Amino acid sequence: MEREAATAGVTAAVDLSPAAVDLCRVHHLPCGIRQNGAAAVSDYFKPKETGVEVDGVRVEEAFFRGRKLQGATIALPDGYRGYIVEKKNAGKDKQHLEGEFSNFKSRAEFQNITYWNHDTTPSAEDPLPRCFHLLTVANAMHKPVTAEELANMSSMQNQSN
Amino acid sequence: MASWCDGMAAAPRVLVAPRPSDANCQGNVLSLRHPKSDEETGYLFVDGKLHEFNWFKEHFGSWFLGDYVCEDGSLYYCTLVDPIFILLPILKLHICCFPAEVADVKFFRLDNSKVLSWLCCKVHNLKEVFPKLGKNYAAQGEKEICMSL
Repeated sequence: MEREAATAGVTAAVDLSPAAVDLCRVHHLPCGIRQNGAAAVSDYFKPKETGVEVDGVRVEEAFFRGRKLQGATIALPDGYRGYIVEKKNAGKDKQHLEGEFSNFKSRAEFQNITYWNHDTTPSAEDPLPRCFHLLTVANAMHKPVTAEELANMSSMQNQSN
Repeated sequence: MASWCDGMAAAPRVLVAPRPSDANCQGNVLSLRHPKSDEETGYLFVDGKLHEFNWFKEHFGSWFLGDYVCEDGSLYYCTLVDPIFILLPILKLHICCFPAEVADVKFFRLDNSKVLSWLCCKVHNLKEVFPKLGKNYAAQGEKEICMSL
């Protein structure tokens, strides 16, 4: 048992300690590849800058199995980090036989995601950059409301009533 | 050459999470009742803050993670959650059915006007960020948002 986790309601432990390996960026491909495992990606997959910019998005180009891909790189927002996590020895924890308990550990990190499109030029409207909008929205929505903000809002509401 | 992926038993998952402070990088997944669906949902508690897991997955997709190919092209990403959202439905339920006084136990009564002010603060904060995110969201005009208040 890696750590004390007998507390009710805790279903997994996630270790995000700084990993030895910084991949800097990872690539999201627009196709399924039926393979998990090591491969000489960097020998064959060689992204290049095109010099083209669409709506402030710098378009990159690469080839995969003879197909031309166009991509763009998204830097993760400030305060966020990318982790490649491995699920470790799940189910071996005797104290949690009745409920599932898992351990996850970060193996490598990254700060940039390059996503590749096959048929379309990358733009700010692509699904992946748009899903990062949620980070900004969630921060605005979920940052704790201070007592002062609450008091100001209450007095504003009292005035308008 | 040794690689980060040596000896990995199962395919890894790609996660974007808030970078914790060095002293607090051990997180826990807590099973809590989702305020909308009422179902038990896993939340990541790390560095003193609560986060929700989101899942991005397209019909086709895979990852190149350094010199590693990952079949599962999905992305997990964590976003901040104000724990009050989780507590509100529970408080609402209990406030109605509990007696007002019980010896030795401290009770908090939910103040509806405070809850409303608190929600207004949230709306105010959201109004600030939507126009900055792009033209798609700017369509939400001041009037539409204020009507809902």
